[in-house]
Amino acid sequence: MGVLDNLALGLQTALSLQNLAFCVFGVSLGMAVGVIPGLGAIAAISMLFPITYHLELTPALVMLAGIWYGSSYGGSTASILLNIPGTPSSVVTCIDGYPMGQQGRGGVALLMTAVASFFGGSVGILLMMFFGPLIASYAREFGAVEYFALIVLGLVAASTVAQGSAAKSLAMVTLGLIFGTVGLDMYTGAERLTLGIFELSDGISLVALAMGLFGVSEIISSVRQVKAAEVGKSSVGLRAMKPTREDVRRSVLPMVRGSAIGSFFGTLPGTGPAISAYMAYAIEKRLSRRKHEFGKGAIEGISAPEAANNAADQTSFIPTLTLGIPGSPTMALILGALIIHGITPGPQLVSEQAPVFWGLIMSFWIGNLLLLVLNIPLIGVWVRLLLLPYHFVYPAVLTFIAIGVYSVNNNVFDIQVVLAFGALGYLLRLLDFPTAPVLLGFVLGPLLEENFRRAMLISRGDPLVFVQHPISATVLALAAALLVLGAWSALRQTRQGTALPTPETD
Amino acid sequence: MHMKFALLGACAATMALTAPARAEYPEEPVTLVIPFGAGGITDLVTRRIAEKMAAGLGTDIIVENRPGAGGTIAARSVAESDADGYTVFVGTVGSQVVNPLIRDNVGYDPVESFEPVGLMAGTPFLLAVNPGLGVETFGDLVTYAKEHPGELNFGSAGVASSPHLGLELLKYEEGIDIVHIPFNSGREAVNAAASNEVDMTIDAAVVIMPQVKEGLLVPLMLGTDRKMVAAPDVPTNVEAGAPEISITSWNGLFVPSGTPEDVVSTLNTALMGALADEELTAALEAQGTLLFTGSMEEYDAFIEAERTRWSTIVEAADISIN
Repeated sequence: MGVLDNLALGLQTALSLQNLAFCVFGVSLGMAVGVIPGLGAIAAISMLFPITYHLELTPALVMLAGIWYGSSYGGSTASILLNIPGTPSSVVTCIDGYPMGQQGRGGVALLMTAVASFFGGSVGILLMMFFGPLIASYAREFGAVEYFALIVLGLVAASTVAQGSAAKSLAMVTLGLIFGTVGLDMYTGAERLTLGIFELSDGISLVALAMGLFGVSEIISSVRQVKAAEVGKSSVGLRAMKPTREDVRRSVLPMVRGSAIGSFFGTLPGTGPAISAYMAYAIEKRLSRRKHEFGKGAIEGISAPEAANNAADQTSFIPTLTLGIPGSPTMALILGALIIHGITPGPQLVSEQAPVFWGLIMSFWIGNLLLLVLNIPLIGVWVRLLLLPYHFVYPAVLTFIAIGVYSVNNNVFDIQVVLAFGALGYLLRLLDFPTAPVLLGFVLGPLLEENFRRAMLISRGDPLVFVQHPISATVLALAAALLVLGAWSALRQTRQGTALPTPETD
Repeated sequence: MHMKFALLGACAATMALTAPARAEYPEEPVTLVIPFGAGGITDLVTRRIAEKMAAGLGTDIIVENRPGAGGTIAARSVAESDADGYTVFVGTVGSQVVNPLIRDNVGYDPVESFEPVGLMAGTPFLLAVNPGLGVETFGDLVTYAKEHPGELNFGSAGVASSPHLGLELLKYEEGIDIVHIPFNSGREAVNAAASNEVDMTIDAAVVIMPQVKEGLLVPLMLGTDRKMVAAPDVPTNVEAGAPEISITSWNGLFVPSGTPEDVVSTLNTALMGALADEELTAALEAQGTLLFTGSMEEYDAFIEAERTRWSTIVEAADISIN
C-alpha cells in the first residue's frame, strides 16, 4: 500500500463520527488538565483508563492520545500567567514565560506557545508518518553504551540554563541527582535514602517533585500578594495577543531547533518531553546572541521548549507502538490499552494494524488543528483569570495539585511529598538558588547511572566500550569539544577583564 | 463442666441468630484491590473477571489500583482491613510468595494474614535467545552455557522479578553460570535480547512472540507443561526435558483471615462462575494467559509448591530487597 492509500485509510478512520467525537473529547480534556497545575495527562489517563475496557481500540487510543498531547498545549498557560507549571514539561517555560506575562505580554506568549506547540507537534507527526519504522529500528540499536554517551552530552549541553552563580546551579543539579537516587538500587535491590519509609522504595514521582518545587513554592512565596495582578485592560484584548514581526522572526529558528531536539528525545524511552523542553531551552540560550535577555522574557525561551515538548509527545509513540517500549508511565497506560484489546505492540503493528495506526496518526492532525483553533479564543479567557484575586486562585490550585497527585497512585503519601518539596522550594528561593536544574539532575541522573552500570555489567567492567562503539565515541567527543569550547571562552573573557557577557545590539 | 456447656450453647444460639443477617452478603459493593497500576495483565484479568463476578454476586464491584513497593503497600492495607468480605485482595506470586521472602518487614504474613478465595489466572513464561547465539534447543543452550561459563548475559525485568527468579531457577537446576542484567521492564529486556545487547531473556508470550515472528528471537521452551495457543510451536518444559523449570506469573483473590466461611464460599462460587466463561478463556488464551480451574485443595497445593520452589531459589541465589 502506498502512502496515499494509507493516508486515505487513516483519514477515513479518524473522521468517523465516533472517532472524531473521542478526539474532540480527548484533546479538550487534555488541554484542561494541562492548564490546571497538578492535574496532568497521567492523572486524567489513569482515571479514564477503566473506560477503555468498554471502548473499541481506535476510539480508546484516539482519546488517550488526545489527552496526552493536549496537556502539553495547556501546560504552558499557568507557567506564563502564574509562574506555576501546569505539567512537568512546562517547567522551563516559566523562566521566560512568566516575565513576559509580567510585562503585559502574556497574550503574545500564550499565542506563540500555541503556534510553537502546533509546529513541534506537526514535525513529530510527519516523522512518525514517514520514518516511524526506520526510527524504531535505529532506536533499537541504542544500547546502554550509546545511552550513557548521549546523557553525558545532554548534561554538558544543558549546564548553562540557570541564571546567576554557576556554583549554585551545579549544587542544584547535584540535589536533583540525590533525589533521583531515592528508592531501590535497580541492580542490587538495596534501598537508598528511603529513610525507612516504605512508599519511598519506588522513588520520588516526577509530578510530585515538579508540583512541589515549582508550584507550591511559588504559592508560598506570593501568599502575601492578596490583590489581583496589575493587568491593565489593554493587555487582555485581542490586539495584545498579536506578536510583533520581531517576535515571529526570533521564534522561527528556535521552533525548528526545538522540534528537532524534541523529536529526537521523544524516540528515546526514559527521556521524554520534560527533558526535551529543558534541552531546547539550554541550546537556545547557548546559541543566542541575546543571552542577557534570557530569564527576562526572551521569546525564544518559550517557543523552543514548547515546540520541543510537543514534538516529543508525538514521537514518543514510535517506541511505544513499534518496539513496545513505553518511555513514560503515561505511555505505559497507552500500551496497556493496546494489550487489553488483544493487540501486541511490536514491529508488525504498522502493517498488521494499518487502520489503527494510520487512523491514530490522522487523529493527531485533527487533534493538533483543533487544539490550535481552541487555544486562540481561550487566551483572552485565561488572561482574564489573572484579574481574579490570588486568595481565590491559590487555594483552588493547591486543591487541584493535591487531587492530581493523589489520583495517580491513590496514596496520601504522595501529597506529603508535594508539601515537603514545596517547603524545600521556598527555602531555596529565599537563598536565591535556581530550582530548574534540580529537574535536570532528577531525570537524567538515574538514567546516567542505570546505563553506565549496565554497560559495565555487560562489558565485565571494561570502560573502553565507550570509545569502541562508534556512536558513543562520536557523541562523547562532541561533549568533550563543548566542554573545551566553554572553558576556552570563559578563559578568554577573564583575560579581557570582563566576566560579564557584553550585550550585543541587533 | 456444666457451666462450660451452657456458655457454648449460648454462643451457638447467638451465632444462629446472627447467621441469617450475614447470609445476605453482599449488602454493599465489594472492592477488589489490585496491587499494580492500570493497564497490565493483572489489571486486565481482574477487571474482566470482576464484571462477571458482579453479575454472580448481584452487587457492584469496585476495582481499585493501589500500586507501590511491588504490591506490598496494597497487601499490607488489605491484611489490616475488616474481615467482612467487602475488601478483597488480588494477590500475586509476588505478594503471596516472593515479596515476604526477599523484603524485611512487609507488614503481613502471606499465610496467616490471608485466606485464599481462589486462583484466577496464570501467565506461563517463555525462554528465548538471540539467533546470533546459534542455539536451537534448550539442551543446546545448557551445553553452550557449560562450555562458556559466565559469558552469557541474561536480561530481566529487574531484581526479584519473575524473569530474574526464572534465571536463578535455571542456574540452580542446570548448574550453569549466566550473568544477570536487570532492566526497568520486561519489554526493555526483551528488546535488548532482540538487538543482541544481551543473549537471552524470559518473559510472557505476548511480549516474546512478536520478536520471534520478526526473526529476532528464537524461543526455546515454555515455563509450563501445557501447550500454549499463543506459542503453539514452542516445546513445553516436559518436552524439552526440563520439567523442573516451571515459571508462571499467577494471581488470585484473597481475603483477610477471619473472614466468615460462608462469605468466602459466596465469593468462591462467584469466582468459579466467572472463570467458567468460555469467551473470556479464549480471549486470554490467545494472549498467553490461562484461567485456573480446580478445587481449593489443588490451589493450596499449587501455592505451597510455588512457595517451596521460590524459597529454595531465593535462598540459593541470595536475593533480597532492603
